[in-house]
Amino acid sequence: MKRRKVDVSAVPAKAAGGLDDRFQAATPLRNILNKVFPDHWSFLLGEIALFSFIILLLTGTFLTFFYEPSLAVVTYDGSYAPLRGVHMTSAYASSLHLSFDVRGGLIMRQMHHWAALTFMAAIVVHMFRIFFTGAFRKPRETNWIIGSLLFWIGFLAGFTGYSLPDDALSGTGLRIASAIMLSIPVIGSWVTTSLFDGEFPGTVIMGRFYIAHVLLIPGALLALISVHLGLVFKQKHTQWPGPGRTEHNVVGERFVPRYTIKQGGFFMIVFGVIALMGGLFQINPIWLFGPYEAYTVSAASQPDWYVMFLDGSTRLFPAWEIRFDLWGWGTAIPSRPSSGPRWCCRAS
Amino acid sequence: MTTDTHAHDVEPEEVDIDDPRLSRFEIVREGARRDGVEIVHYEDPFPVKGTKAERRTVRTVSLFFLITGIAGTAFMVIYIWWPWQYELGANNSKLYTPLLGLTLGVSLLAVGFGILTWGKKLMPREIAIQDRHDGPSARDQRKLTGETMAYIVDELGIKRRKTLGLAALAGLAPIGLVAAAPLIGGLIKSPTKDRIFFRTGFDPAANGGRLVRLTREDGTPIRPEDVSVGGQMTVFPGIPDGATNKHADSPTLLIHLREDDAERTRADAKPINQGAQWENFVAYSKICTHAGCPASLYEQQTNRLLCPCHQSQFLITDNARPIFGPATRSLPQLPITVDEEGFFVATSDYKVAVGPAFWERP
Repeated sequence: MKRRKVDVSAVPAKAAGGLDDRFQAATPLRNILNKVFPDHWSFLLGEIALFSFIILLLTGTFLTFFYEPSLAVVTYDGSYAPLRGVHMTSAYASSLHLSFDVRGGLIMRQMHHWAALTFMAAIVVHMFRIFFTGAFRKPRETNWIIGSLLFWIGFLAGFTGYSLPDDALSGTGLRIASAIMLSIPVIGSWVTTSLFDGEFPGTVIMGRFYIAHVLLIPGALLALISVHLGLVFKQKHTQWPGPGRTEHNVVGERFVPRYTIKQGGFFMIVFGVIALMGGLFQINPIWLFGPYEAYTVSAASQPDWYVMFLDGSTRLFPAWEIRFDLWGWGTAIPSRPSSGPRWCCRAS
Repeated sequence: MTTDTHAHDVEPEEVDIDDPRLSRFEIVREGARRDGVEIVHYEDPFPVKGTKAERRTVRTVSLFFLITGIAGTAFMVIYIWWPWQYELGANNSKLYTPLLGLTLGVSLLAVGFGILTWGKKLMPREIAIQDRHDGPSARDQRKLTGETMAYIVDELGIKRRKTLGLAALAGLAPIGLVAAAPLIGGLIKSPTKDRIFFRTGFDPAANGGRLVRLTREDGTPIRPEDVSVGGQMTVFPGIPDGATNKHADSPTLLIHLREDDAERTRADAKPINQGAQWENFVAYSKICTHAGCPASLYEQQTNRLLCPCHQSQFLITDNARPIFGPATRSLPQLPITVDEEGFFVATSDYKVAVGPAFWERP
C-alpha cells in the first residue's frame, strides 16, 4: 500500500476546516479577531491587577505544596539556627521550612507577597482612573460595583494570607481582627467564638483561613474577574475625545494581533518586575518576628499598606465605648442595674 | 501598504471575495467591514524593504530575545548549582534568592520589551473604527422578548391559581433554610459556655480549687526578690500550658513599684482593686482593653505602660487607667499575695473580663 503524502502547509487550513464543520466558528471567531480596542496608557492599571492575580495563582499554588495549616505545636529543627529548639506551630514551622529548606521557596513566597501588594495597589489606582474619568456611569455601574467588591475580596485575601504564616505579626493582626469582631453589636461575641471555634486563638483558625485563602476567596475573585472582563468586552472601553472619535464609535486597533501583542508583552513586564522585587527586596521576613505568642509584640507592628486606613482609624478613634443593657440579655452577664444608654469614657 | 483615510465616508459595494485580483489584505478588510469594523488607516512603518532603520529595529528585538535566553539560562544554572541551603553568616547562600530574582526578572523584562517593540515598531500601524452598539436593543426586539417572558408566566398560570404559588413559596422557603443550616449551624459556637470571656488561667476552679501561682514562661514560680525595684516581669498562670496561646488572655505584668509609688497606688486603689496589691507589687493584665495586643512597653520613670499597636497608655500607679490613646477601660488588676512557700499566687481570678470589649460585657 502506498503511503499517503502529507502536505504540511495544508494542515492548518484542513484543521480549521474540520473545526468549522463541527462548530461553525468562522463568523464569531473573525468577530473577535477584528474587535476594535481603543488604547490609552491608563488602561494598563487594571491589567496590572489582572496580571498580578495570575502571578498570585501561580506562586500561591507552589506555596500550598509546603505549607501546613495547623496550630499543632512542634519544635523547630530546620536550617535557620537562631530558632532551633523553639516551640512553634506547624503553620509557622512550615513557613520557615518553605523559606529556608525548599529550593527557590523564599523567592516564591516573596513574589507572592509582592504580587499581592501590587494587586491591591493596581486596583486602587485603577479605581481612581475609573472614578475621575467618570467611567463608572451608565451603562457601566454594574462593573463599578463588581470592581469595588473585588477590592474588598482582595482585602480579605490579603488579610487571610498575612495571617497564615502565624508569625508574631500574623498573630497580632489576627488578635486585633478578633477584637474588632468582638465589638460588633449584639452578635460580636457569637461571631468571634464561631469563627475561632471558641476563645482566641483556638485550634482551628489556620485550617479555616487556609481553605478561605486558597479556595473560597480566589474562587470568588476568579468568578468576579471573569464577569468584570466579560462586561468590559461587551460594553467596550471608554475613550478620550479625539479625531474621528464620537460617543457611538470605538477608535483603536483590532484585538488580534496588535492589542494581544501589547497585552502579552505587558504581562511579561509585570511578571518581570515582580520577579525582580521578589528576589531583590526582602518582604515579610517572618524568621525575624518569631512565632506568635499572645504576650509578645514588636514596637513596629504594622499591617500591609492596604489595611493601614483601618489601623490608622483604629488609632485615631476617640476613647469611647457605648454601652447599654438590653433587658439583661445574655446568660453570662453579672447583674447590673439597668442604666439606659450610657456613654462611657475612661470609666472602670 | 495601503493608506486610506476616507473609507468611512463612502459606503463601499459588497466585494466579491472570490475575485482573484483581490490581495489578502483587501479580503481581510472586507471581513472586518462585514464585522462592522472600518480599517481607516493602515501603514507599514517600513514600506521599502531592508532599510537601515528596519534592520536596526529587527536587531533590537532580536537582542531582547537573546537577553531573555541568556538570563533564562543563567537562572537555570543558578537554580541548580548555586549553594542554596541556608547557612548562618555572610556566605554565598545569601545571594541565591537575589540572583534568582535578578535573572528571572531580566529574562521576563527582556521578552516583554522584545514583544512590545515587535508589535509597536515592526507591525503596520492601523486605525480601525467600530460601532459601539450601546443603548437599548431595537424596539421590536424588546417587545418580542418582553411578551415571550410575560407569556411564560401566563403558561405557568400562577396568576390564575394563586394557591399554587403560595404553596410553592411556603414549601420552598424551608428547603432553602435546610440547604443553609448545615453550612452555618455547625460553625456556631456559644460564647457564654463556660464563661470563657470572663475567665483566665488564674481561675482556681480550673486548678482543682487551689490558688494559681504566677510563673515565668518556663513554668517556674516567682519569689518577690526575683523582681528588682522598678522592674517588671511577664508572668503566666502556673497551670499546664499556662504560658501558651491556649491561655491567650492570661499573660500578666508583675511590677515591683518604688516605695512612694506603691503607697500612692494603694491609696488610690478603686474599690474593685482594693487588697489586690501585695506590698510593693502589683499585677495587671497585659492584654490591652482596646484591641487585645499585649501592652508591653513599660516606662519605669513615669510608671506608664504603652501598647505598641495603637499607642494607648495606661498609668500603672492609678489603677492602670488609660491616659492616652483609644483605650477606654483600665487594665484589670490581678489580686496577688505570697503563699507559705514564698511564691507569688493569685488570690482569685481577675474580677472583670480582661481584654477588648464585647456586647455581653457588663
